[in-house]
Amino acid sequence: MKKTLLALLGTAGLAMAADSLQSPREDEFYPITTIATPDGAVVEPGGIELLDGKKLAVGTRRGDIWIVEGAYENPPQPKWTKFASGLHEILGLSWQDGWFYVSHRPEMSRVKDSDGDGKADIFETVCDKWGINGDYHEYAFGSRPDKEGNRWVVLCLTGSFNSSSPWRGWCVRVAPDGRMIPTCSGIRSPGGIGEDADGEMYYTDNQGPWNGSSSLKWLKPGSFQGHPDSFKWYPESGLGETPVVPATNSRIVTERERVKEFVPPACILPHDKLGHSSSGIACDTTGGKFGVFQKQLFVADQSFSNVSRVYLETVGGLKQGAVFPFRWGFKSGCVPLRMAPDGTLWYGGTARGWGARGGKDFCLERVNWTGKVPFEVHEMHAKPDGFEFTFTQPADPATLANIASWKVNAFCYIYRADYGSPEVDPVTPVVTSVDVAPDGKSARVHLDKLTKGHIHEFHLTGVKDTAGQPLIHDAAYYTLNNIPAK
Amino acid sequence: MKKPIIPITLASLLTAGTAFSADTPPAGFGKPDRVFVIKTMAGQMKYDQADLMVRPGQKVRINLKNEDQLPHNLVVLKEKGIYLKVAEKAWALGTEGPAKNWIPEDDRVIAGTKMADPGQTTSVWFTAPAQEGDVDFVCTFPGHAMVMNGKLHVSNAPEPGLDNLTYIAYKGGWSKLPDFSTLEKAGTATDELNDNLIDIHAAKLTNGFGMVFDGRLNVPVDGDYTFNLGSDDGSRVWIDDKVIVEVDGIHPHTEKSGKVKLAKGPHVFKAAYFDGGGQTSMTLAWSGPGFKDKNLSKEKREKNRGEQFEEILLAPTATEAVIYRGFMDKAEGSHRMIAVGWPGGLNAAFDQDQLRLGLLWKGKFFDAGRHWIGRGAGNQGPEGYAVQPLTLGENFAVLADAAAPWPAPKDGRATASTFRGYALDKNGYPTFTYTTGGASGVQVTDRPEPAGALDKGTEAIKRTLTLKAAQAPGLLYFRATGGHPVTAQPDGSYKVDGGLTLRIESAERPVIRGQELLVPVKFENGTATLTVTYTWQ
Repeated sequence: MKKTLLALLGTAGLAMAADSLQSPREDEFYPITTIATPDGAVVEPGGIELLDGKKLAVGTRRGDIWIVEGAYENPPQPKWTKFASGLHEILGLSWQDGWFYVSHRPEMSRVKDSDGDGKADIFETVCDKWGINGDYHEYAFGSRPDKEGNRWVVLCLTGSFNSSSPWRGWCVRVAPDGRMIPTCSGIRSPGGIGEDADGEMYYTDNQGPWNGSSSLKWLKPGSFQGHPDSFKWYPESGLGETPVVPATNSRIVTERERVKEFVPPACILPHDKLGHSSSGIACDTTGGKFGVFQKQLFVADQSFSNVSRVYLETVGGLKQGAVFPFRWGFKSGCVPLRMAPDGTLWYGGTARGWGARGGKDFCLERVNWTGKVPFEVHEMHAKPDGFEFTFTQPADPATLANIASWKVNAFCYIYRADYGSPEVDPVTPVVTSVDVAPDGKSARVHLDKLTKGHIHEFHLTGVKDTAGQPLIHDAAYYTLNNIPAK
Repeated sequence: MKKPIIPITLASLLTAGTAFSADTPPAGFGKPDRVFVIKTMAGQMKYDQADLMVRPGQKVRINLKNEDQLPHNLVVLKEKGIYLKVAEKAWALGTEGPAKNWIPEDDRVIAGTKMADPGQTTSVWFTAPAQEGDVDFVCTFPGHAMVMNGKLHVSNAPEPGLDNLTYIAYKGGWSKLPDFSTLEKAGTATDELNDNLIDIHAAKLTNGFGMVFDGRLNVPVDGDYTFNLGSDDGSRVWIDDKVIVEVDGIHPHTEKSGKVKLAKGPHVFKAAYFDGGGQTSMTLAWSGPGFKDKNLSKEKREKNRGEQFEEILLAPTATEAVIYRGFMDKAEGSHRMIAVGWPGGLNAAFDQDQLRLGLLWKGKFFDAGRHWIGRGAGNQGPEGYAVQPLTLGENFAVLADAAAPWPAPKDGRATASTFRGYALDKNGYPTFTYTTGGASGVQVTDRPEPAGALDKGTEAIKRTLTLKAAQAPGLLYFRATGGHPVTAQPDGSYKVDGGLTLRIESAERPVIRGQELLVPVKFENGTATLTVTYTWQ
């Protein structure tokens, strides 16, 4: 008898765990379109830039820049032209005043076609002041220019554990005149970099030493991002005294009290749940052309070949917020993610070296909004004794009011020099009451306790829309760096 | 969510698991008939062997040694062509995957290892299917199956390769392979080689020894077969008493290949090897219908020191040069090398870290396989021949006086010169630009290009350096070479020990200073020009 019960529970639990993160209905709202790459060519995207005239530029891990025309068309009619080659693993591409700015391993370059024959002929070094010592992990991910014209570059550690060459493990800004401005320490192994709608810069870092899980991190100038080996370059950074070295086998919430420069991850993307290897970042600044998630961030994963959605808020001077599943089923593992003003989300995939779901070695794909609004959690706000949820469509108020609709648990990770961490310190908050807005568009969930520093995991399994349909994705993971006073 | 997790784990233990993965053999398994050691290849998401052969019903143990930085397992399946389907079922385990070692409950699974974390070894014990035929094995960790899979061939046919292999060892001092049949063997040094792989160290002899291997080569099907033989020093292979391939004489590890048409079935195999002293090696691999580079020697055939990558040969076109930026071998610690291959078979690499021309070579340009397959770890040397490293350290410097030492690089980088980039002409030939002379900000354009012709033996690389300075930079020198004895030749050229000859055209005469050749740079109307022509063997 007991056996049967356990087995039944197990089956139900498994089904829920798998189904609640991915939805077979994603295509109704956000279909994926694949852009064919040229026959015989290996196009492993590392950077995507948008050009006038509905053209696209793709910088690749093999060091080429391709121009693509016809990729926006329905169905796509892609025409690929190789613009430049010979660069060293492109992981950032932006176009400005007739030049491509390229982040690749050895430097930030700018590249131009000076004689108008369609091929690059000038390759200028903008900044090559960081070190490389021949380790394949020494990647350089570069942003588009910020409002001051600086490009932010996050420099992966040597072998992803140590900083064996100058400025490894740092975020530096490259000014328009080529100056390198050390900006943040503590970087481990970045997968992407990008701005939010307010011009704040973020990057993704991958599970590993001092990173219990992959996460989205806020590059607040002067901040420390978690991995202390980068401190060896601090004296030359112009950022003042070297911070206190954090203790291993601790918790982020503890160590940030000791290391005053420590800015904890804005949003942790729980390992094994939403991905293994966070990568590209794109912000919806399309003014509604990509749906109702304006100003939210989209964060991709190189291993799971998916895109998640992040809503952030500022509490107690720190960025924090929730991640929700968004779209699964791309053909290869994402590195660059780029939002076009017309509401096309561009996705560049490469499985080389680390394997990825999807089955293709590389791909260029796009996501467009069909115009139909999915029933989803829209925003999630921390409150002194719980969270407020808003919805994209009116929910059935009775299902919101039902305490059993809300499954909650909370956990965190060990902050340590060892690789990764299991989920630890589990807490099971109890929903004490739910205040439901009469229009069914929001609900205020009161919990018996909140745990600072914990990821609060919600599954809104019982919430239904007015037609009785469940949420497209019912999972939310909120990284509670600070508990708001009101 | 958290609450149900405990019952799920219990349930999965009750319903799955234990039959499928364990690090001890199943009870009563006994001694395996066959033991394989499979390694995962660092940074490549591959097993080092994708084809294993066993007899029907054999008891098999596979040890999976994980040398990669990601966790892997190895799951043996009951059929072929299903590895992706089963793996996808494993991935659907989601958060339950780790507890089950990512092995799904599925009738098509024979057995699997536990997850092997980086550096760990795990094993799987199983009995091979009773019927002849192929079945899959695969890593079911999410995302790996597409490339990380292989075939277990269940067959009663003789295994392709050598068997009945024996050796006889000899002591002696030779410069070529002797006729061993006339010589006396070394003591009792003769034996069977149990793993049927050629092993020149089997008799544990060093410095002046010979080995003769006799055995039978089982050929799986009628067809053309290629034998790649490499050794240090000489070796030779006979099949049915005919020489198929040889690399005789004293030399570093050198490889040659021979092709032969062979009928299905057993053939008489013989190989001979000698060491004249010092370094030793012998590798033999064969390729044929349906298989490539299978080792017949214990020492594995290796391309590019250690790991094997498919070749991705970069080459100029008939009219256009090719550029490659990547981590290069023989670059003496510089990591920003910009390599150029010009039409006609001459190549060079400019060193962005030290602002110098760093390497010259002839023949093929560059094999990008190492960097463009897998994660791209490691340095890769030039593909061609006559690789000539040039002097380390920036090529230009302002000296306080004529006796001042040449500035040394700091952390491998130039201290008074800054790289600015390069421009390509219509044929893709680069001209490098940089500033030098520290604060004086002298602008340099540096254009190396081929001169003469490789097929006429007149090949050279001519480098034209043009400098512009707003104000006189003091004692600016170009250092053409340093670190090897250099002598002026009657014809006006300079010979550098190690096979390099320099011809310099400049306003001021070059000066030999110890082992350095310095060219004073003289500006006229703010401009200076010099050319350097490099010839080398």
